[in-house]
Amino acid sequence: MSDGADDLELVYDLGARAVSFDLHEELYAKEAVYGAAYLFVDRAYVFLTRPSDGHVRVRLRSRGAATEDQLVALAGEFANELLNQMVRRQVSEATSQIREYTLARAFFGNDGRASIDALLAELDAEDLDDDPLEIEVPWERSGQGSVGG
Amino acid sequence: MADAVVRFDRSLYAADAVHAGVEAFGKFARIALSEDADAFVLAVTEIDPRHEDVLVDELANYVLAETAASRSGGAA
Repeated sequence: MSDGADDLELVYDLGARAVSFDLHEELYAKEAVYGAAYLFVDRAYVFLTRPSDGHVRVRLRSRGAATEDQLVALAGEFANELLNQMVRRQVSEATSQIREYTLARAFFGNDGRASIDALLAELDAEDLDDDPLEIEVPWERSGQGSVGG
Repeated sequence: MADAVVRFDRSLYAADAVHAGVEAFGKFARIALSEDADAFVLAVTEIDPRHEDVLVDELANYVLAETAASRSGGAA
């Protein structure tokens, strides 16, 4: 698996309780690597090194004994999480303007003020004469002597 | 685990995170911090025997998590 012959596969090296693989920073943003690593620190020991410019080497060491298959699975799960982090970043960047616009409108737009005014007017219009203390007790709502039959 | 030297690449690990790691794990070992052009270098000696199997790995995890939290907002 670590011969590097097939570029479509994750190329990794297996060691004692550890698996490592290299990531190209042009493909995987460093923040995505941090995001994935952050989620894995409770499952494995994660260590990053820089084997060459533009590359990050990730080493995952299992917290206990692990078979080769388990190490390979661990590396695969990390790679999946890496992709997940990349997608999250891309969606976040793609929708940043929409979020900013929505927040700006909520805080500074006239619609927000109008909504609050309408809500206050609705509260003022409510007839609370039958409940002067504004404490409505559920069993009295339709009760009228329902206790004890 | 015997004494260890751990190199944290400057381009991958935050200085504040390394210092935080030294402070947090300093009670379990003697940790000497030095720096060269590319890395923060931690020489870890006199490791508490109760934690010697995991201390260096836990220290590295701690520094990485601190770095990740500071650079990506933490909530990954």
